[in-house]
Amino acid sequence: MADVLRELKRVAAAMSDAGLEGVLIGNAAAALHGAPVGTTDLDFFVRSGGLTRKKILAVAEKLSRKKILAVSEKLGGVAIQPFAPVSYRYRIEGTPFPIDMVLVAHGIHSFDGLRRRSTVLPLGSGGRAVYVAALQDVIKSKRASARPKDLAVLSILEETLNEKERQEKA
Amino acid sequence: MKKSGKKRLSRRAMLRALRREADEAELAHIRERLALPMIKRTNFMFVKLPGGGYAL
Repeated sequence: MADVLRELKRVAAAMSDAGLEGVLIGNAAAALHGAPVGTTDLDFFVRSGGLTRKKILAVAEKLSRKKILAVSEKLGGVAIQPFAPVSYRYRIEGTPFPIDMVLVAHGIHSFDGLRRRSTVLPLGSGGRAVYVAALQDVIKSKRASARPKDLAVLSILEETLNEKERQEKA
Repeated sequence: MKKSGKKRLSRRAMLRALRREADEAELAHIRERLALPMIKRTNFMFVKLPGGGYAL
């Protein structure tokens, strides 16, 4: 079985060391909130700024086993932008699972708002933690994105949210 | 031959029962996951297999 916790710890440590702020979004966040869904990658919505690209590459260099794969410029590391310049998504490869760092996502308007509504998942000793986007935000983003694979899981995410709210009220 | 006393269900009724059963199973699955702390809900990653396909 894939060791998600170990990988999350590694990612949290690398992001913290690089000064990169991020919130886990997508199906991984939904699954941590209890939705019975699976995924093949970890998606992080990261705070955008002048040094973001440099920070993402620093994270990539720390996490990845591969050496050079930078696509648009030969910066080293393994962060690639497969759909640049139309997409703001960086993909880190050479890790146990691909990790996506996105600067823009459907339905998410502010990094601060997303982080404020998120849940902090402590990752054991060492003070590392991961911000996990609220299930409402994941649903909102998937609905706004409206890709078939996002729409396919919407009903199960909504059912999880309803059940969670029912249990909180009870 | 003796006929059984059971009434045969219509196809529509059988499909309705199947749907209800699937919905209840899904809800039970969600409840099981919600009963766990967040740190234990981590078996969600599929890993690509070298020969193709995915595994948990």
